[in-house]
Amino acid sequence: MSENRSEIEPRPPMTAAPYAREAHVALPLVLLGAVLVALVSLPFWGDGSLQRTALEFFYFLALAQAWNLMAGYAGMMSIGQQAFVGIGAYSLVVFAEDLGLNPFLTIPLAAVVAMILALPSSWLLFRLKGAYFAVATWVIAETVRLAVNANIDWLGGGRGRTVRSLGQFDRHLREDLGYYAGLALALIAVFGVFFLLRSKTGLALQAIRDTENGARAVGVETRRTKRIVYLFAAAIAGATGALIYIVQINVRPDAAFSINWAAYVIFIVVIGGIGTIEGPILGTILFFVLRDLLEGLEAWSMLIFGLIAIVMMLFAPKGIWGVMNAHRPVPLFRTARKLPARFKADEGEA
Amino acid sequence: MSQEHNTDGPVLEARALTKRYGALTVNDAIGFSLTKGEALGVLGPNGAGKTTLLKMLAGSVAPTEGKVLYQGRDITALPEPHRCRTGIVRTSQVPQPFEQISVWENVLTAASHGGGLHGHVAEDAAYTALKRTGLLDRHAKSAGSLSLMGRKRLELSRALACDPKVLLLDEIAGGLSDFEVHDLVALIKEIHASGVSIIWIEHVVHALVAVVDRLIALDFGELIAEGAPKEVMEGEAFKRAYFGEDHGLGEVM
Repeated sequence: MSENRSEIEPRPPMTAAPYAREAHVALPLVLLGAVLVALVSLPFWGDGSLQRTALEFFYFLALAQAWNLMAGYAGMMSIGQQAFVGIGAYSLVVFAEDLGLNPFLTIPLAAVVAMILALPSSWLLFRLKGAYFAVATWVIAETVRLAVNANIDWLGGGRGRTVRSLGQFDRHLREDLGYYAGLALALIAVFGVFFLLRSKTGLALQAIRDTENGARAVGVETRRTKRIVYLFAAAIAGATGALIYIVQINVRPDAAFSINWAAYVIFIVVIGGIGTIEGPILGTILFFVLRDLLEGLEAWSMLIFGLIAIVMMLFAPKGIWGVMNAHRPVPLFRTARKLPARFKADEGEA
Repeated sequence: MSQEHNTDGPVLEARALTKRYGALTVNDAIGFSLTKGEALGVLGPNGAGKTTLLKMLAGSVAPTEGKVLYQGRDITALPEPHRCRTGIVRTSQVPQPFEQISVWENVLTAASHGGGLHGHVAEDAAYTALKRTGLLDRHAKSAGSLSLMGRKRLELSRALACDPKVLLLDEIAGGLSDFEVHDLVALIKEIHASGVSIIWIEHVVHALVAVVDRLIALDFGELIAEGAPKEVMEGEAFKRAYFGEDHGLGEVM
């Protein structure tokens, strides 16, 4: 806001001095622009394996942002987001295979389906708090997994189903379309969270996280606010689920509803830094690096991931981003609201 | 502009408000009314049910029986955030700061939600509230870093940012030094003078009587006295509640 102002009415150098640090705003923007250009052009310069890794990065990032918004800002510690990943995956199957829609068009539809199904589960879940809430999210996810696994023949039971209609696309075209859909999804997740946090809903969320009673006392409709976030996170997970299985083609209930979707994402947010937008981005990068390093260790890698997460929670509860920002905070995404510059002249008087 | 529908009737009214937790009756058929622009004090020993009464008025506790009327309208079923937006705002006995965000964001949250305001108008309201409570110089501090007085000021700033018509204060002077209480009384007087109706629970009696026009007294969940401050405090029922059967302070001294 103050940037625009300084363009319109340049201040004399003397008064400009106290605001000089606002020049730093430009740095994150340049950085962001450079990353964006690199990502958009990646299919033209990167090889197939890099492109597939980047796509995987996008969907983990989208899931991490959504979970972080829920847990880090609204205090809803869900361990059941895999329910919506699975629902997204099966939306792809039904829309693309049974109804003959273009598989890529099913991505936004999967988001809508996840949101619609999230609504009744929110009525149930919002009666619970803390650990009870967390366990209930898991129970719901397991219930859906078992139901799809055993009882719904139409969805292929335990063997699942294959999205055959993806065969109509040339492999390169499919990979490129998937890549850009992933990039779009990650951007929607990151900037969706960013703009939500900059709005009055963002203030409400942080208020709820700190004290729900206090929030209600200043007029925050806590249920409604939490529901917005829960539905947003479900939509992101649903779209991600459809996208993942556009790449993987075979949808099996045990994989689509796997607790790993929740576990990895929680790991990412915890090591990166919960309650920030930068944390999940950093966490996703670290997760990929670690996963690469631990490749071939199979079950051991999960143990090591768990150990790292526990150590982080004990010694750096704000994650790597928190450690990096402990002394001189350099936020890339400025979600904090500050006293507007137009009031600053009187600040000293008080 | 702010002409209400019934300017003559009470702004807030409690009708036979009762709260029971199992066999325990915390409030027993309490009835009183608050005239527009009035400041009403609530006295009573610990456990008399004062906070519960205030919470029922604010909507954070649902009464077992009875009604709350606001400007003649039954609002018993109206949830707390909605009541806050219509102008009934409560400050908590134990301040409830949003600790991880700044003082400014705390007050902006109140202006945006309780005040129902947007953009610049919300910022203006938050700014004015902070300026009135003298907290403006600490706007950038995290709310968690404030002292007790700071937290109480913040609690009051947030309430003001909600643009209250009726302000419910729960022991806002408790735990403060004499100097701080003095400042606080001046501030509450000013808020009252600006036309806000006030119900104030307080143990710091000299602070309370410096502001309020009228007192009610509770004991064991029952309304035991009502009237001008002096009248109530010299009444028999009141003395019994505070000092026991034969108010025998004389013997001790």
